[in-house]
Amino acid sequence: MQNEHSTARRRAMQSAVAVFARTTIGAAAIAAITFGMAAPSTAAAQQQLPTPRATQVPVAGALAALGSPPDPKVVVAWNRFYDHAGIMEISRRLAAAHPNRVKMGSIGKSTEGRDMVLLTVTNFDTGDADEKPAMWIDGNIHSNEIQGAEFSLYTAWYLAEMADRVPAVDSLLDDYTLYIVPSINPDARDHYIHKPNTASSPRTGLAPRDNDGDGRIDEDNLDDLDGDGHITQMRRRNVNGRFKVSPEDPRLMIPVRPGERGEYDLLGREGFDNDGDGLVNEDADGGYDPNRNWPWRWAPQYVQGGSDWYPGSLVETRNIMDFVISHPNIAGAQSYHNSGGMLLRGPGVPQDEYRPADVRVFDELGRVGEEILPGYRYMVVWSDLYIVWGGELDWFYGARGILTFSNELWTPFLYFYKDTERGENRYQTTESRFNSLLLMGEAMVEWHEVDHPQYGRIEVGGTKKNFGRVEPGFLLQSDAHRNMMFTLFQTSQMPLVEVDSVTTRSLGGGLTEVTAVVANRRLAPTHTQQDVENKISRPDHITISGARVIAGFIVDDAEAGTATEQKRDPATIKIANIPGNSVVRVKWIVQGNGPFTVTADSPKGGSDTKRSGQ
Amino acid sequence: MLPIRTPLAAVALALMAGPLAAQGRAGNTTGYHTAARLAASIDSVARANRGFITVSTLATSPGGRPVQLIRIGAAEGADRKPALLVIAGAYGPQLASSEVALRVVRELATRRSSSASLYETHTIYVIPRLNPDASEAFFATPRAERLGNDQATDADRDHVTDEDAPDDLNGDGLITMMRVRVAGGGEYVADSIDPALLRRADAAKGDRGTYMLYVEGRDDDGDGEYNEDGPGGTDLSRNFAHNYEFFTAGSPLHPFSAEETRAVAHFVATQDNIAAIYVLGMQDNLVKPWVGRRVPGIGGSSQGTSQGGPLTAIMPAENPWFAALSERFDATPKTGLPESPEAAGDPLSWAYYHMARFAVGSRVWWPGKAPADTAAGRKAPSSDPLADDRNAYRWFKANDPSGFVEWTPVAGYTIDGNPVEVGGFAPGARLNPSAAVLDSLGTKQADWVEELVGMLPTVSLQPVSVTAVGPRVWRLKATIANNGFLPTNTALALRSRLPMRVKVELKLAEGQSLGSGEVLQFVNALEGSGSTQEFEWLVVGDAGSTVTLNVGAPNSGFASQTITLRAR
Repeated sequence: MQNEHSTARRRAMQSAVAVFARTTIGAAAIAAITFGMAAPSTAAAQQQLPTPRATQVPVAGALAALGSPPDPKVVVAWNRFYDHAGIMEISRRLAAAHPNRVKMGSIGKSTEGRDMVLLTVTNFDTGDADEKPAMWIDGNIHSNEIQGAEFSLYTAWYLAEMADRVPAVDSLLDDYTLYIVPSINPDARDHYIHKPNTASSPRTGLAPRDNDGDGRIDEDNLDDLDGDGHITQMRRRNVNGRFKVSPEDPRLMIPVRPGERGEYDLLGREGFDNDGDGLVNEDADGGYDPNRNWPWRWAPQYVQGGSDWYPGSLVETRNIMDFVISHPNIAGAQSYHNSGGMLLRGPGVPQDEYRPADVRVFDELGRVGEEILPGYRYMVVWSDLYIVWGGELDWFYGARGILTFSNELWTPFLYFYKDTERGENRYQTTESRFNSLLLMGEAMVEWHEVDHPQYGRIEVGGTKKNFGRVEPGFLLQSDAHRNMMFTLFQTSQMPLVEVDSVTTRSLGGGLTEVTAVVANRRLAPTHTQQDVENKISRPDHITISGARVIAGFIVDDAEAGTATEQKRDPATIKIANIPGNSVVRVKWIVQGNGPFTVTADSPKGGSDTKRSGQ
Repeated sequence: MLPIRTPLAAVALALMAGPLAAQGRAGNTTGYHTAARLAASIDSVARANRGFITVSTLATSPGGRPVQLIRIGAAEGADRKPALLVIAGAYGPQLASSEVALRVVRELATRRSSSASLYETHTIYVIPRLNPDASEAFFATPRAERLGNDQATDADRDHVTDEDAPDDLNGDGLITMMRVRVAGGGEYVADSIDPALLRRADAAKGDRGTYMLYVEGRDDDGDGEYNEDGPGGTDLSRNFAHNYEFFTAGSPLHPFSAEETRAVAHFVATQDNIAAIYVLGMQDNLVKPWVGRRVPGIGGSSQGTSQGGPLTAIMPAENPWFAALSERFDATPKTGLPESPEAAGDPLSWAYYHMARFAVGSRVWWPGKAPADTAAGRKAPSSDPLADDRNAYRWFKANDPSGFVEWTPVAGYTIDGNPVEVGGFAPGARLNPSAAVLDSLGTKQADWVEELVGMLPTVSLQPVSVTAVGPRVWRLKATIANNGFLPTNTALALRSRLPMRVKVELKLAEGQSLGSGEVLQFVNALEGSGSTQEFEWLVVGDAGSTVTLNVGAPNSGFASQTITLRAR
């Protein structure tokens, strides 16, 4: 009964949409084509959100729902997507409402001059943000993979709004800093949102490139024939065609079997031959992969397309590198992509190697991530996914020694909370059902006729750009929260040094032995093995003051009493690394009776001070 | 002397290369140009040759010095003509490369009229000194070999920058080497034939090491290392992306971390008329062509695929061309060339392996073959680990004694109680000749540059034939030729899709249509020396109407014809 009812309703809706398309949108598109212009995207307002209509103060809640601020200072709807202006506005509001928790800045300008907005989130009352151990979060390196921006904004919002409510949030913000750049590809983000696109276009940024090697730049974009803001498929009736309408779902096209007559040709993605070279959509805006442009294991285009001209050729790449190099307190990073439900670490190529001590940390973080994120899997880029030369995460780890994940947000698991069939049938078996049963069929543009300047009368239809790679609204906040919690779990496990004890023992004759135990009670080391081996960041310093230092030592084995003397500058003992969940001991022979003050100062582990006798 | 790299890279580099030339080592830099004088000289040549030579600033070094870019060619359209790019001065101590580049520019200016036809079809770009900061150390007191620009860096990765510079212990105005005689445990021994030369002690051969070897100077920061972190900087001759080595002295961050090198990368990437690149530098492939030579680096693949990684040798199809370029080269002697340093981040390898251009490199100058020494006990062993050092040492002894500073004790200075002697090759001596020969080197290199430019691909279009096939139906046949010597693209360029291939584009007028053929086609690497490729179209259109055929690419030249549809 339910199904019959749905089907009947669907048919009714279908025909309504089809009529609407033919009479209104279709006509607009045809007019535009006649004048040789790309169709305007005015009708895209169907999907894009107008200025908020609701101006009322939200109705007061009566009982808090756990995990959400009951009366946030900044009200943000997390069931929609925001363009660059929206990201700026949410960021401004967060910074204004929470001046001691969120500061807004920019790491530089994009190719087209947009700010790469930076939100620095910490408790600014408990220390210099740039001195605390820090986590880097970015989103949207691929412009169509948009929800990374909302997820990272959600993280800033959640932390700011839950501060002073949830002790664990306060503790996190006391100890750590989060540098959040919601979109590191803001130009093409706006392109994806405001211009007609598929779920997979554009992936690039918007630095102009000649994709097809004809000496002309960005001269044959996709074209929105029906002006609905979505680039769907084109089909044309043909008794000799090789496709037919699926008997399962009239919106789907399936190939005919051998010996069977078809009904349609499929003509590819919506568009026409803008430059008269006989090819359709062959040189769209941009034309590279920003996640192949990084200078660690970068490879030229003959090895892998999209790496662009040279490593770091893109200003967005360089802005991030400059920021990361000048912020050695960054110990961990996550880069939000979509999709597929993957918590990825490098290396991107089999010719590279992650150091074994670091792999153990990744493994533990990944294991917990899988627990936080049902349907997501912890994987290695090259061996579990595909080969990537010059990916962002490999530069972060390889060149800077930072523990970095790429998170592929959204997984088809979330359609029905079970693993889905992969491959060609996935759409028909899962996405089509989800579209029908949970989205009232809204995910698809019904097939409707348009005039094509080269193909004549054809039909366009298919999935909308905001289906398949991003969450539908009712799952957005849920997936944002779970991903955030994985990020915050990693943040909470970044190194943190603590002077555990400072003890003294008289050696007679005015000499005192001072022993300090310095702990790092988090999972991550103060220096990854990659960092230690390549001397990327400076050692941890353990400094004694209030004494005349005669000699200083690293205690190798407290029980056996063995120690290694540091002959130069013994007041400041240099420690190459304090591994996760461990302590180091140092000692000094000094003149004086104290009290002595010991400070541990780590580039990625923060600092702590304790006095003897405390 | 140091065939093996020591833990202190700077030691090896400073010892293997020494400085300048001829007359009076200390302080005499006659004939060589400081950054300011070089810039002024180039500006002056440009002023005297308006409409032919233009100068712009490609980048500004961290030391505030301009990296100049010179364009030589037609006043109009030069940036759309097949071009040669000459890069010099990437390796700071090798000033001769810059000096030769300057003289090439001057020489080309004097030949402006006699070679006028060259510039109707071609353009030359010259970057005369990529690393002006480093080269400036040549003019400082004391003179030193410096590789890095003025970007303060932490060469020894101890997280302190520029804390231990060399010191001129013997006050001769030169930073050379110092050797410390030790009772035991030394890393070097004096060579038995030429005791001024040191070689690494080989315990397996029973060598008892008697010397430690360092760059001349004190341990300013008391870390037990000597002069391991002097002023600067990023070594621009190792800052290019091909086989870049991370975490080494001179390579503090990543490829193209220096604005100077990134500006070159950006220039070549965007200037797609550059068909070939000539690097006057430390890497040679003109005396010893790349044919059969492997490059080190990650990948180890001869395929150049995503799975296998980047190429580790030039593609086989390039072999005849690189061999031919070497055969034609005659601007330097073809013998006695010292070993090129390992190809790691150098501009020449990058020009081919990443930018897919025909790329050639010349060392410009090196000490010639020393006179044979036949005295008893003076014959060099047949397999001589010190061969390059020994030849240079003997050459200097015979031709220019100031090129090698004999070891002399430093009074009142000991290391761990051991006596210290200072000596070795003078800074830059092995890279930079007497200024007296620079002009003749410049003339020979100018000849070669002109010859090389003449070899660049040059596309032409033979008269298009039109045959009437039927009423309003015409068959067009076009023949495209490459009258240069080099192919229109390297084989690698076809795979890299840069620079673009020769485009063949037929423009139809209103009312015309195509029966067969394509409006847009591309020519793969069309060999030179008049090789041709034919194209054919069937055009439907009124008799007397015209179609236009445009062929070419910025790196191969353009040609165009307007064709009237009429029987002839």
